[in-house]
Amino acid sequence: MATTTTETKMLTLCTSDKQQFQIEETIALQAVTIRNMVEDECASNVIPLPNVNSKIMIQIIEYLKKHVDSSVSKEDMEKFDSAFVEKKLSEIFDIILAANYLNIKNLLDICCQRVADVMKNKSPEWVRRTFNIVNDFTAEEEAKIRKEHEWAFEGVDED
Amino acid sequence: MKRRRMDDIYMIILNKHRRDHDTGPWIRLHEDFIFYDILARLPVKVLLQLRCVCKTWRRFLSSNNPSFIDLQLSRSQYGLGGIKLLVPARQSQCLLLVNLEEGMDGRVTQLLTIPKQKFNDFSISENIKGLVCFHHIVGTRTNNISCTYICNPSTRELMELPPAPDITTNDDMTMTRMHMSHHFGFDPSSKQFKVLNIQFASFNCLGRKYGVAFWIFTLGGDSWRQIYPILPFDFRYNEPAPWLFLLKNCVCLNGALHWLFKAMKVIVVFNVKKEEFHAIPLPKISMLPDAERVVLLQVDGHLVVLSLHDGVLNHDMLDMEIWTLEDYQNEVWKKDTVTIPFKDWRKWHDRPVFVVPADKDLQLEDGSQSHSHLGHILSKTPRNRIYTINNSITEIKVHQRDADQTRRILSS
Repeated sequence: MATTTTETKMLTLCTSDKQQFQIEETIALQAVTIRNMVEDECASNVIPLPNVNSKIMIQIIEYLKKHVDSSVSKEDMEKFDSAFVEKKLSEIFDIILAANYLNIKNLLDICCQRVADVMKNKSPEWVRRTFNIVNDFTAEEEAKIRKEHEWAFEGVDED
Repeated sequence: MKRRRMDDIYMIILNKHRRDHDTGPWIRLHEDFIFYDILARLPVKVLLQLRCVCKTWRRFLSSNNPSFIDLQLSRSQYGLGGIKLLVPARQSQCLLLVNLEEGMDGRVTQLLTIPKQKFNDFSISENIKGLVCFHHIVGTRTNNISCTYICNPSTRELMELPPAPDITTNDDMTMTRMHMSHHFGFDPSSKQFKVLNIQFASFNCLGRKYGVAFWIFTLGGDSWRQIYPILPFDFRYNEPAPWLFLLKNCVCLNGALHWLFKAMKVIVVFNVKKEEFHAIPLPKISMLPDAERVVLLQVDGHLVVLSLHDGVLNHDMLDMEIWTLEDYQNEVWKKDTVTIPFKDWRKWHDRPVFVVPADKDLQLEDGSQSHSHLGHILSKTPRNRIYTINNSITEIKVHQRDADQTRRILSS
């Protein structure tokens, strides 16, 4: 990467579990929340991120490091993104929350898309289990709703 | 008692779950994420399944939630559930969905069966915010009923509108209806869908005279309403107005309906909200060829006029001018030209057909005249190619389509 000889400005991020991460400012500024803090000069040397834990922060930094690199081709970036979201859903949920807090739009996008892609082929039962939703329909009520769009429950378009 | 707000209901659910499952993802992932960021990316078919998850989801995913529907339409990578064309199959009286997506090889799904007699004079509108309007006439030439439907292909729901009033019963004089057309429009400011019915008739009274009438049906309403707009051209009662016959292939954009009126070199515009006509002059299309080869369509939110003529440099090829109305308010056009390297295109059929454009790219098809005939053509010719001209107009892709499956369904 083409870095100038002048010193690279570093930022220190402090996660909810009091871990400190030193990263280049250009990398960190991709997160709009951090950029706003820096621009408003309300950030001192250490930027506190009480809504993100260190485990998630490591993954987000990995993502930001890749995305700051303008030499990466569009295809490679897409490859990286699709590999990046190959995680357990519970982890994706945590990243969604962190990406939302840090305001990293593209990361939020690919994570939500990942959840949607997983949900696409799953039954309503699976959805209830995954999101811990209690089915408050009676058996008759549910059968009636299924009947309204019976074709949607057929596996005809599974391809 | 104050009515409980939706938020309160969410909170109750939230609290309930907090007790039951302290670390469940439902708690960690706020329902707004689930609803707006995740569910809005799912195809309609899946959303219909998810209506039975619980009562909250059922309410949220109902058809009375326009903000979610708008978001889903704008965000869904599947468009109309992957649907690109609706084709009426005359013999089996059904409406087919034809999927023209790359790699799908003309996959066909039977959408619905029309509970009426054979199609006659079938016409279908473009897809407007996930809805299409179609129309056909049942009965003989002298004794017939016009049937108009609004269809949501994604949910496979169909609604029949009341029959439009008939111009021939509108007057004491004996009139013969010569032409009727339906046009489907949307006004974003009032979020209203309207169907415009135009009828044209002749009557004998001291020489041949002609009459025209316009009716409007607003979706959500229950009846047709006659309007008396001022026409953008002279309409004399002793001569037919050819442009009224030509009002086919309507493009709905920016709250207005648009038709190409080649003879006057204008685009006729009908403002859906104000219910008024006006006209936009066409750009200087070089060499206006035979009228059949100029087409108006919508690409990526812009009006586009395509014009085809023999190649200037190579007579074995065709040149296509692509005129894009880049600035709608100020009527600023941009011109691009591509050469179409298929000399047999023109010989094979009279003209290419411009298929509902995909999201960004423009799809052209050879082998049929219009949507309404595509059913026939697919069954006739195994050689059905689709040309895609991409947005940057750098290349033309040719897709061969296997029409076997279409044939099977059509002949069944």
